[in-house]
Amino acid sequence: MEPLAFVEVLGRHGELVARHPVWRWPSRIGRGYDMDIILDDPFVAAGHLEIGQAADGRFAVLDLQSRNGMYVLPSNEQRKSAEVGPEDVVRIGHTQLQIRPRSYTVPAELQIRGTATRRGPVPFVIAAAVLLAAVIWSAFVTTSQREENPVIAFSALFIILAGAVWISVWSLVSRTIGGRANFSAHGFVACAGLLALEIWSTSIEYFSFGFDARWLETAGIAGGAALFAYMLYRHLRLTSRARARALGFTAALASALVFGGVVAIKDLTETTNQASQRYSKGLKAPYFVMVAGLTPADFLAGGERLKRRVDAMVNADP
Amino acid sequence: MRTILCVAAAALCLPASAQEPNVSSQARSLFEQTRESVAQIRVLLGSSDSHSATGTGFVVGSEGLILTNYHVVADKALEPDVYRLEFVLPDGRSGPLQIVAIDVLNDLAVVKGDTGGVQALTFRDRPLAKGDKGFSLGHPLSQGLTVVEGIYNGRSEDQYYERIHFTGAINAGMSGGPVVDSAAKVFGVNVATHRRGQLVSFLVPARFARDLLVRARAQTAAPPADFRSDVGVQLKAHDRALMDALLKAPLPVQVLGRFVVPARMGGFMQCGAGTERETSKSYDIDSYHCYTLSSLYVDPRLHTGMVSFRHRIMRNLQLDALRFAHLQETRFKQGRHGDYASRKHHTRYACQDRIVALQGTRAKTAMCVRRYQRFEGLYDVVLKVATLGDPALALQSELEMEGVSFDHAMELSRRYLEAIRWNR
Repeated sequence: MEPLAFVEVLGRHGELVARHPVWRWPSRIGRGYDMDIILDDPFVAAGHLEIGQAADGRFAVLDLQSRNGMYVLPSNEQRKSAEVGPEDVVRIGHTQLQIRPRSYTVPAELQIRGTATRRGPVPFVIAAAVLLAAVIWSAFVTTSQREENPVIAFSALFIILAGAVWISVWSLVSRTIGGRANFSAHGFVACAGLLALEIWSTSIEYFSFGFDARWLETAGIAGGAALFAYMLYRHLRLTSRARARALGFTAALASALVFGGVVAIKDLTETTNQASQRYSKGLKAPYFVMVAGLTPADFLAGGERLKRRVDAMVNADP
Repeated sequence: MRTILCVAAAALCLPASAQEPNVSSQARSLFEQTRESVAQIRVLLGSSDSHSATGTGFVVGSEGLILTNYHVVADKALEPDVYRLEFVLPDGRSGPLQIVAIDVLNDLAVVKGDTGGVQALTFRDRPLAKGDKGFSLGHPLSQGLTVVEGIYNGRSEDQYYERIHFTGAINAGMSGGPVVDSAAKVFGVNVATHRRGQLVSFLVPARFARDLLVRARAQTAAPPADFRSDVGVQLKAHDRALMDALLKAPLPVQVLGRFVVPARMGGFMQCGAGTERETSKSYDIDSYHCYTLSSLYVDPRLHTGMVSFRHRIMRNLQLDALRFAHLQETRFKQGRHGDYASRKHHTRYACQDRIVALQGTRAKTAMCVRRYQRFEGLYDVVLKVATLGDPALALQSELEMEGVSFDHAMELSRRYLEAIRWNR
């Protein structure tokens, strides 16, 4: 004897939790042991729902006068009875169900993507080495005395430790959720991502200085957030099999929160007047300057704008 | 232990003073002549009996006028609803005080209370000579009315506003107390001490006190409860006088190596220099600074009224261009330390920065402006310049103006930028 259909119990995020075969029409669902399908949800009545066949491969569902009733998603309105298709979700108590016939057609299988080399250790090691070199170089540029050499060692040590923690956490999460740690792949994503961020922020510094263009700094923050979001997205792809769009959205949101949060906290924690002096502090070697420069008079003419800005900041009654 | 020592000292001293009656008789007789006119001034918080500050004042008129320092009564002048003023006379009488007139620039205030019957002190007309004795009265650190003998040493040579240099132990709490000559005539008012000095104290000359008293007596309208607008007007007068003095002559310049830079302005700026030339360093930095010693006390958290500038000549000895540039960057970021923002006093800074073509070099130039919350038309302006002419040599220069009108600030900034030159 073959099952007529399947009742699928879904978890909070729509994932499949259990699948029960339906052997006869009508079938009854509830907490009681005389039911055809027994649910353990304490918010479900002993006899809660009856399901039967309707036309066109659809199903008729009927509330057996339970205390908590029956709801059909996504409209989430309470119904005494309804006709549902294989994509509709019915909620009784705290349990979500969907009913699918044997004839339900599933989509084609996903293509396994990513070649073995990209997930292997070689790209990871190369990216890590280049990142380390970049970090050491940028630390070197910020020192001016031999006594400051430990600064370089510390920044190298810091990136190694922080990177190891970051990659390990992602691997652990991958292992827990997806069953595979993907250590090397996470390592590559992390190192390549940080390297891209480092290159990006350094180039923005030099371009905004050389072309005397402050808007580049704002664009630089937005670009940095985008790069970071993409890095998170790649990590998430290695971790979860959820839809790409959902992962992309999660990554973008997380990145926006991190970058927005940092900018906002900087804004709020401005406790010294020094900190409220927000001018572009970047100063590079003279040969990066690409503009002729304003005349002093033109520069000072911009002072009027500053005056208007601070005049507008005055409290009505401090 | 302390008590025993005092008793022992008294026992030793008494026979000596009995033999030489003149040793301290001058201070003693002056103290006795003037003590009844010297009051302690207390600033009380709200309706409480607890004082947030104390100072000294002296009776200068039969109508109950008392002279003291502005900084003693500043809290009451600016926030009359939060503070109360009270005087306590040596005979134990006390009562409330009202502010009648203030002089922020000379740190003086005239207050009024019910001091009926107390004899007023009078002012000395003739100048003193260096070395003359003076006797300062006041309530140092709430130790009771105290007399301190000291020496008149002429005008303080570094301060913008005229102050008498008095060599004597003036301490906190004596502010606003009279300093009298040997005929019990007031020639100065206790106002400040030098932070790094020993017994180097400053007095406001009596003539400013007399002027303020004349103004207070000529006032027909009742004095305002809140002196905010009066303070604002006086700060503007300070800005006008100081900036006119700085701007009246063409900006003086000096040559520092290959740079021509602004030099000591107005003839009254104080200047100094310093250097960082340690052998292990791969660079050296010489710095030169000048400032007007014209800081005005407005309230406990707000001092203003100074103009200063600083030049740094940075020489690269063995760094590559990128590292030397970064060194310049760290210095370009620096500002004054410990300068905590109080939104009560200032707005935030608004800044702009651009690359500006100066004479002989391009320079990264930043300007930051903030306004005073309570005083309209007054600004703090900071101008910063960092030359971009040579990977091995740079000038960084910074001009700071506190409590200035915007137009004055722009004019001095323009002259400052136009004066900087790199001789190739």
